[in-house]
Amino acid sequence: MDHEPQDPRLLALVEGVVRIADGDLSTRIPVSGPRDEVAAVITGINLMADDLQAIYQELEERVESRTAMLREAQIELERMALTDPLTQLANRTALNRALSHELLEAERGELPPALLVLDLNSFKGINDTLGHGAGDTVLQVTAKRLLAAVRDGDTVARLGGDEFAVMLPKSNAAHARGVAKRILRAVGESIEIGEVRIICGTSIGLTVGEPGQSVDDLVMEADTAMYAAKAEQRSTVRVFEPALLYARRLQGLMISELREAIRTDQLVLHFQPVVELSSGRIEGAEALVRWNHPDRGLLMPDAFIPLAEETGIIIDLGYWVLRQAMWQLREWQDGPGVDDDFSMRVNISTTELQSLELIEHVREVLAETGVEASSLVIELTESMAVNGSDIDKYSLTGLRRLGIRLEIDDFGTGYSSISYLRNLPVNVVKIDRSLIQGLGTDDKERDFVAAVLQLIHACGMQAVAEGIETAEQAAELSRLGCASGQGYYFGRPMPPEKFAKLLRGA
Amino acid sequence: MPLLLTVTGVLSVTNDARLAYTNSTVVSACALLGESPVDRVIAHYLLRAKSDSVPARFFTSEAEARDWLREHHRGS
Repeated sequence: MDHEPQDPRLLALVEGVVRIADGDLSTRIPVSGPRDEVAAVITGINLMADDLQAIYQELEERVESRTAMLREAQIELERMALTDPLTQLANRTALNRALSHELLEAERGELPPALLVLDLNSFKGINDTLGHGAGDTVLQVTAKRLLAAVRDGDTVARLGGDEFAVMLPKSNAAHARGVAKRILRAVGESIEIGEVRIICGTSIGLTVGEPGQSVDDLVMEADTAMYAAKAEQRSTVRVFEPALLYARRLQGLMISELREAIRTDQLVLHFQPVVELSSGRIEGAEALVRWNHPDRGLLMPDAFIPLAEETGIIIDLGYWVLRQAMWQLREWQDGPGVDDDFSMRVNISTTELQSLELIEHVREVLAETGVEASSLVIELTESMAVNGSDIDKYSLTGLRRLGIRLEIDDFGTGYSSISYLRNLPVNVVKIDRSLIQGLGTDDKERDFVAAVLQLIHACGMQAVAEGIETAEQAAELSRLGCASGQGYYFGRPMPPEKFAKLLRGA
Repeated sequence: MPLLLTVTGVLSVTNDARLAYTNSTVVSACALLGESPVDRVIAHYLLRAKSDSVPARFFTSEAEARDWLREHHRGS
């Protein structure tokens, strides 16, 4: 077969198309010779290659910029996931991550990390009295002070609420203690919120990690040390030691035991007589709780009330006391020897006063036992009556509306301002034992107590004196116009059977 | 303004040239004039780039191109 001699441009065309197909978009096929159809095809392919190259380039640029945006968003997300939004400190996750890294380093032979856990001493009070905005400001200021007190490589984290942690990489006990002291000073300085200047203070728990230790273990140790620091005294640093763990476990055990005690009636009430001083007649009783512990015997309130307060168990405990006291009163009222105006005094805690269900519960117990509201006297502390929150005021007003009398338990030990006395929402005040100690032997003391009583009467309230130990004190108080009294002279707190005998005059 | 663009003998069109052609705002109609198949390819490459609102066409005769432009100029 004859072949016409081939146009060399066709060969160049095929070569070019192959290279473009291979992905080399910069290929251009040379245009030469006549401007015929072959040249037109070459020109067309070159123009399409131009197009393709431009499109690819734009696409690549777009992908690159979008990828960069994604990466930034991811970094921001990660930062948010590891940051506390209020203080911009690291959060618990970030702290755990840093700790885990440092513990690994320790296993490789580096110095171990130290961990400090702290919380603010009076934060709840700030939130309650000055509002959450003030609380947030305190947290932010504290965060800044913590950051200023540590090195750049240290991690400061907010664990939640008012709890913070500081992780010191490659540290030791001496260094960590130094940092803790610095933090103690920094956080102990006053903070100005509007017109108010407050001092928070902190308690710090400290532990130094050991190679092979887990993050959870380390956090738990520092936490345990912090609780020990808080229990000891305000504004102190406590280094973890295994004995603390034992104490904490014991406390944990006691918490579950206390719950059990309420459920299974291991608690008992003792009653102390309240006497009409002019006649010596028993006009009422104060109910006082004891814990009849199966192993440890009869426990006094100081051994378990603080724990109940701390854990919120006090609410259930308080209800138990109220119900039990009201049933006892009912029983005595149904028997002989009890006057119509015989009253039962029950103490309530701040936590109970802040419970919105308090009034409803008291009403329920009164209805259940058939006890008149006027036979119940609720005892509270001076500070609860004077500077309580709105809920406190709501509770106090509600209780008074029910017809219950309110009594201040520790009058004379708290506030010095006299003007507040006139506005106290209570009927009776109990004069603290410290005010009548010298009575009966010291004339000056008598004038003082007389003045206090006059003041109480002038405010339209009645007085009960507590801590009466001698006949002289009782006689003197009666002469001075104090209506009622209680104390060892009349009778110590006693079990109900014994109190019943006393009532019957036996 | 009507535009008569001769593409005869053009070897290639750079991006810049194409952009200048595309973005001209004063042109009311555009006639592209060429002779060879190469000119036709180049002309259509340019035609594709112009928006539909500006009438544009390829011609091989200058007289026809001028007539067409004149008509469009009068019509607008």
